[in-house]
This record gives sequence, structure tokens and C-alpha cells, in this order.
Amino acid sequence: MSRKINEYSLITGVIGEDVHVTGIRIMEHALRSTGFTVYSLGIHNSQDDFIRAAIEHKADAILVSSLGGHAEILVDGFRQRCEQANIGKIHLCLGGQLVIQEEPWKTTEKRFKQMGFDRVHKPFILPKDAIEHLMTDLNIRQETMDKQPSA
Amino acid sequence: MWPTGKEVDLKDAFKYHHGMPPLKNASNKAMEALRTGKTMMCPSTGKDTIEAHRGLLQYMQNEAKVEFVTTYIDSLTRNCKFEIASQELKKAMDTGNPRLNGFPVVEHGVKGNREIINALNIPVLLFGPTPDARLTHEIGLAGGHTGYSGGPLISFWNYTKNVPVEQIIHNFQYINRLMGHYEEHGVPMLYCVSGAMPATSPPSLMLAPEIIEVLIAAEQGVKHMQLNCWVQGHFAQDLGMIVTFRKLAREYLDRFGYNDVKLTTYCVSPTGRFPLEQDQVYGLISYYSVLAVLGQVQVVGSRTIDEAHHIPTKHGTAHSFRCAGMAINMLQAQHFNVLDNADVRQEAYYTEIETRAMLEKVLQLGNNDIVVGTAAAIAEGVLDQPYSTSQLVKSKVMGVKDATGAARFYDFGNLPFDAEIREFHRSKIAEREKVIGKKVDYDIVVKDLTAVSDGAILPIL
Repeated sequence: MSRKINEYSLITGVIGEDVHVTGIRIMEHALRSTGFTVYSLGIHNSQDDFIRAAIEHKADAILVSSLGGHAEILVDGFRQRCEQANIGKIHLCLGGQLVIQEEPWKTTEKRFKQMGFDRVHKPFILPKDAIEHLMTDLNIRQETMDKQPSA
Repeated sequence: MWPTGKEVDLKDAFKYHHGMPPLKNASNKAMEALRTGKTMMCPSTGKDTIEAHRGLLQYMQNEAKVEFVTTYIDSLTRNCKFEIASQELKKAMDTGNPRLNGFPVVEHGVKGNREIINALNIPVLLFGPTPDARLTHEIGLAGGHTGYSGGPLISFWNYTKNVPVEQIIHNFQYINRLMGHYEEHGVPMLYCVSGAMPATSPPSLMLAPEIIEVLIAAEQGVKHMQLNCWVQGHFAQDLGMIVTFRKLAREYLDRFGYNDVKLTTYCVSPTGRFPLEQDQVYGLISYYSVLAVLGQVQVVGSRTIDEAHHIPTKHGTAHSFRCAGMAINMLQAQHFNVLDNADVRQEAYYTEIETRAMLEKVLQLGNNDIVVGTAAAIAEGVLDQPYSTSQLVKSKVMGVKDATGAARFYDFGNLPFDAEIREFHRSKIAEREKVIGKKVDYDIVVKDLTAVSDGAILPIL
């Protein structure tokens, strides 16, 4: 028996002192219009803010945004903290402008996957692709994607 | 809040201001621009030490030939973190290396502010939205600044996470009352409202909050206001917005009995990503300068050629404003009037009915009290912004461009719009969908936001 898409709940937000909010706001809009139940934490969140919200809302996934280039410092130990909070298996997704140095994408992706993120997105990924990946990762069937915004 | 606050003596401040040449006052100079039909220039500038800030502003005055300069307040001071700002300022003074992203107005005290003002012949304004700039104003205005650009709503949408709008309005009422107090003692103060920053936003999303800021300030006795026209690059839509803004701000002020408030206009190109190539930025600066003259605005700000890479240098800023100045000087004397153009009129019409719909609903929710109505309207999404940092904002509205690059509503959220408005936006989006051969979606929303930095008003799809 498969769950309906609105039964999947997601926690979204920007981690650290970063105020860049445009990317995550578009994603939240797009995710809601796809049908997901989205709990938005906005800017200025710690790892514990995400984890507390995930426990409270029994979330299926945490989507972390970081545009300032300090992601490595900010998400270090995220998976371990989830494990300590008994949500060790939750889907962790990371996107934005993650590093300040120039390096091959494979290196960046590998670094954050080793830190326990299940999905690490390239800078400038478009909403459609990010949502497709999320549907695959959470095993959600595609035909439920038919909602449109009110305009 | 901080010891330098004790230096403020209002009687002494009035005397200091009365001793200035009249055209060193920002309100007087803006009124002079209005009277003579000039478009004057005003860069956004701020350095941490007195020497560095004074040097920068003098360079702008003498080399870039701008008519106004600004003291951009550093972000630590804007967030009332005076202790840390003061430590960083000391490091900057000791080492000669810049530590702060603007001028720490509070930490320099009244005396430090006057060292800047005394070194210049042109008006200096305080710049920078923030939820609580009360002490900054007490010190900055006593220090000789003659105006401020910012406002409660732009500070709420873009500079806070969980601060209730009522609290920010309360802080601004204090600032506005202080400005009113200066006016009552013969010192005009220029208050530049800012409303909301655009991001593919139909202009009514900026106009409604700005007119609310105008009414809140008028209530506290502010007499000289400047309307910040955020232009986004679509000529007809931007010009239609400027025309409507002047008309509606005047109308709402008069309706509530503030007939003696004087209005001028300011325009600035949008924030957000800028092209990396300086040659392209020169093109954009010229383009927006032409727009400002055609819009008959009194003061124009500009982005700078190097801000995509780092905090703009004085040379970068001067190059940018000399470029803007050339475009202005070519067009100004021609008095070329395009404001009656049919496309401009159509844009003005829709901007006007949308803005009215929002403002009337706000007044209805507040039982004619603009502050009460604003708080209620934000909670209901009657006032909304697409990309707010505040968690107290609905963030349901979203914009997308039409086939000509004008901003339209992709999602109306809870805005109180009738069928005529909705149908107009839908038909404009449908025209683009016909041109591109597919439905507009979130991927296109993203591409529209970065189109200008990629080199054109519309993205390549």
C-alpha cells in the first residue's frame, strides 16, 4: 500500500548564519505544489533545529540549504546527531554553494556523502531535477506529480 | 544602549544643522532637483574608520561628481551589536585594514560623525535597513546626516527571521518622530522609504508596503519623503510604476490630511546577481540611468562595476557613477517625455489597481489604522513577498516574467485581487508560454531571476 504524496513530510531550511533564502523559498514552493507537506525553518538554523523539527513532524527527509561556502563546517556530524536523536535513518539532502574552493564536483559530492548525506546537489540545480531525485530517493511514484500553483 | 548616546544634545544638533549651507541638507537638495528638473546621483558607500570613510566620500564628491553621498551602516551596528563592532573598529584603526562592512555610526559618536560631514560640501544620508536603528539615528542625525534610507517593512521582509512587524514599526515610529522633531526645529530631514526589494516582483508588491511606510512616517511628523522606485529593467513596467507611485503616495497622504508632506523620487536598479564582466555592467548602468531620467526621478542610485566580485572599491564606484553621469547628461536637457506611451499607461493602470486593492484591504483590516491593518494583512498574506527571510511572512506569492520580460504573478497567494487583475497576469504568462512552446514552471522562475546576470532581460530556455 503506497502512501499519498501529502503524507510525506519534509523539513527545509538554511543552516548557519547564512541569510540567502531565495533558493530554498523556490524549492519550498515547488515541493508544496508537488504535494509534499513542507515544514519550513527559514534562515539561521542549527543542526539541532533541523533535528528537533524532524522529530516533531515525523519527517521523511531533511533538506538543508547553504550558500555561504561554509557547509563543511556547518554540517559536520549531522548524521551522527540524527543517530543520537534516534532518527539515524532519515533521508538527508544538501544543496547550495557548498564550498569556497574550486574543486571537481565529484570531490565535493564524495566529501558530503561520506559525512552521511544521502543526496548532495550541484550548485544551480533546477527545482524539477531536485524533486525528481527526491521522488526516486523516497520511492514515490511519479504520476502523483500533477499539481500547479494557483495562477 | 551605548555610551556615545550620551553625546547627543538636540539643541546643539539643531544649531549645528542651522549652520550648514542650505544645499548641504538632503531635503533641500532633493527639492532643488525637483524644481530644476534634474536627476542627481547618490552612491551607496560606507567604510569603517573615519579616515577611510571621509576619503571615500570626498573621492565620490570630487571625482565621481555625485550630488549626494551616503553613510552605509555596518551590519553589526545595524543589529545593535555595538560591543563587537567597537572591538572590530579598534582592530581596523590599529592595523589599517578594514574590518567592518560599513561605517559604525554609533561607535564613532556624534563627534566622529561630524568629522565626516565637516569634510564635505554635499548632503550625507544614512543608509541601511535594520529592525532597530533608533540609536543610530539619534547619533547619526545629531552628527549631521540629513536623512535616512530604509523603513520598517523592508527591514521586516528582508532583515529579520522572527521579529514581529509591530515591534519594527514601533522602532521606526521613534525614528520618524525624531525626524519630525528636527523638522519642527527648522531642520528638514529626508526619509527615503524602501518598501520591499524586488525579485521578479510585479511593482504593486513594492508600492503597497512603501505607501504604508509613507503613512506611518507622516503620522509621526516627517515632512520630506523620497519614494524608492525599485526598477527591474522593463521600461514600460518600470516607468508605469514610477508614475503610479507618485500619484498614489500623494493621494493617500492627502486622504489622511498630510497635504504638507513633500515628495521626491529615487530610483535604483535591483539587487541580486549582477554580470561578472565589467563591460556588461557598464551597459546596464547606462541603461538604468536612461530609465531614471525618462522616469523624471530626482535621485538615482546605481550598482557598481565591481560589486559582483567584492565590496566595491572607490575607483569602481567612481567609474560606475561617471558612466551613469554621462548617460544622464546626454538625456537630461532633452526633456523627452515618454510617460504617456500606451504601454506605460497600461502598466500604470494595473500597478495602480493592484496597489489600491492591497492598501484598501489593509485599511479595512485595521479599521483605518494603518499599523494594525499592516500586521493583520501580513498574517493573512494580503501583504506578501516571494523571498522573505521572515518566518512570519506567508511567502505564497511568486513572480515570473512574461514574453517581454515584465514581472507577472505566477502565484497570487492570498492577495486580494479581482478577476480583471488575475486574468491580465494569466494572459501575459500565456503569451510567453505560446512563444516558448511550453508551460511556465519553477525552472523558468529560477532562470528568470538570474537572466540579467546571464546577459539579457529574458533567459535562454
